[in-house]
Amino acid sequence: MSKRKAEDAQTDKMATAEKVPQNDYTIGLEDPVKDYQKLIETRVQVDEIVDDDVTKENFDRTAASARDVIWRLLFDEANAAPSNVEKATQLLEEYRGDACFYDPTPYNEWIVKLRDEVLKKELLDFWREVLVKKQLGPCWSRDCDLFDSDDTPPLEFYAHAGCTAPFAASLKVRAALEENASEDPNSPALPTTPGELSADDRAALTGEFEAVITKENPLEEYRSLMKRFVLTKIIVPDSVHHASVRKMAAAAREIIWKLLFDGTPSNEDQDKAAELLQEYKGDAGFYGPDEFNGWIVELRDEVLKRELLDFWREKMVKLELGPSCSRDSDYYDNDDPLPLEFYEKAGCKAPFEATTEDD
Amino acid sequence: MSGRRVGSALALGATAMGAFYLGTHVERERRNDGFANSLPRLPGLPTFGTVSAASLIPAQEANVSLAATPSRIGQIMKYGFPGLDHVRSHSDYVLSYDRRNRVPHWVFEHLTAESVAKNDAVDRAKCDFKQDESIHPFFRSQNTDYRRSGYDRGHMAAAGNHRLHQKHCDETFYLSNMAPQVGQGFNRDAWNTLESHVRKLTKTYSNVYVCTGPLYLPHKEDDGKTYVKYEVIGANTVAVPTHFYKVIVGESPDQKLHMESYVMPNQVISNDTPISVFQVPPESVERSAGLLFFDQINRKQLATINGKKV
Repeated sequence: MSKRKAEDAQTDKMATAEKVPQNDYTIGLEDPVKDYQKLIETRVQVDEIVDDDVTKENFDRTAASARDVIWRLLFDEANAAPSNVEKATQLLEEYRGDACFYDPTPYNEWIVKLRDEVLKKELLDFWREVLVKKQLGPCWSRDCDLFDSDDTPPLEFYAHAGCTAPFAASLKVRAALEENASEDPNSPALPTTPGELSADDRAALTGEFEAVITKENPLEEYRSLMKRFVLTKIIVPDSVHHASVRKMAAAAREIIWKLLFDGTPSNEDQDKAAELLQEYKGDAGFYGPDEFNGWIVELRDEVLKRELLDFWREKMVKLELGPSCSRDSDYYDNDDPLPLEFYEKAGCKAPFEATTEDD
Repeated sequence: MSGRRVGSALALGATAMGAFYLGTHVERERRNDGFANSLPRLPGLPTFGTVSAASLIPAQEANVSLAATPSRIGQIMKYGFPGLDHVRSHSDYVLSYDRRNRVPHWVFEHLTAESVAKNDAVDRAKCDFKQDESIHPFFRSQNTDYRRSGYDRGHMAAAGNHRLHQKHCDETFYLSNMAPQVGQGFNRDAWNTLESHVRKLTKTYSNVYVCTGPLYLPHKEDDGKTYVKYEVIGANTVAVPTHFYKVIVGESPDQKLHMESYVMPNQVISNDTPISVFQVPPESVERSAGLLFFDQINRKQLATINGKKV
């Protein structure tokens, strides 16, 4: 391609598609933002572990190149064109964003020189619309993690040619707030002392509580007792905790027995017994199922002896209320035999299959 | 409780001895090791003979130590180690590094009016964020992880707390001392206010000890279950903590001890929120962090906790 203008001879066009020599940090005037970004991507923002000094050096050279190109785009008479101001603006924004992260100090020094040159050449539109409005002055705590609110905001930088910093107002508000909040060192503190133990927690801690369950509403009563004296948030010694669980379990077994065997149980009583039995079996599967597994056989035998066949079929077999096993408790695993024969009474079968040996 | 102290001193001593011999062994192994870049070694645990809460160390030392000397580390860690995982000692602060999350577990600092005073010989602008080459490459965080992540490289040991010497300040810029923090509204504002508050305490107390670190707190979701959820950034998957804590003890001139403890969410906090809002009982921080702070002090012996008489 032949060059159309002599002036262009000096503008080094970088072939972005080609590999750039290792030491070349040129940014062309054609598409400076793209050239700049490529340098950052390939030499600075590298995911491999690179010595920080090398990264810093690479950024500094890229930054120097960017500053140079911005200066030329703005102040070289040969380049005077709206499109070049646009290019300079874009590159300045891009470079400043990186400077905030990698190295704000050189930017902060150079941008003052750029401002002075801009004002000297009376490029007031650029000053107002770009530098001031887009807040492209020195990096500070608003946009850079190398600064914090103890650092002086760069208000002064913007106070030229009738402008003020766009963030001046918010700083005033903040200053006013800090005036008001001249902190009372003895600020109203929050309650921090843990309160006295509640009566329930104390009972849970000592294990001294009555586990009373009535025929009226056994499941609810069982649950509420568990909640109050077993499932506490406080730390209870294991021995006390186990004793409380056993106390609850005994109370559950006792009331189930009463519901079923004090005379002939109504359907309602059978439902209540099955509900509580299900809940109790679930807890037993967690806290230790031995006691349950022994007792449930006794219960079954009594149920069959009294010919409560509905309860046997519809509740115990169907709801799988037999001995705890790997299907419902983490006390067991696949190597343990399933309690199939428990259910093989009065013509019933276990509601589950034996585990096969193939896997 | 002296029996417990002897016990823990023995345990720590054993750990230190073990670490030393393991270190020498690893050092020997490394010569025929495949890793191209060897890790510079930092002193890990100090010699525990020098770490004692029993002896009062004078607040001012004539000379500023530029290495992590046992006496300086002993001074900083006077009230006990919160934990012993991957401890790194710098010249003016001590850090325990969480290799899984690529941020600290905790950092410990000891401040005096002198060490936080403005010092013309120390220029923060001369400091660079740099990777910590004493951390194995697998577990190192890098600048590239933080760039355009939406998070600041947030100091745990604040640069403004270490002004006795430029080197002290420089060492707070290791990325191993950073965690991703929300920038505007937190790191550069509310968190910075808390850091300033801790520095101001040196006007009241001759010695201020502060432990700082991240938290990953659970929250309940719509299904009624509780989850811990946090973002990880960059190729090195650096954890973004949900909260940060500071637990502080000030020694007043009359030898009384005063504790303050704060937890702040890693999010935008409005400028008019007083930091006292973030005071919490120290026990709750300990539970969440899985660490014990100042466990050489019996809590009952503190004069105040969060400004209230004990």
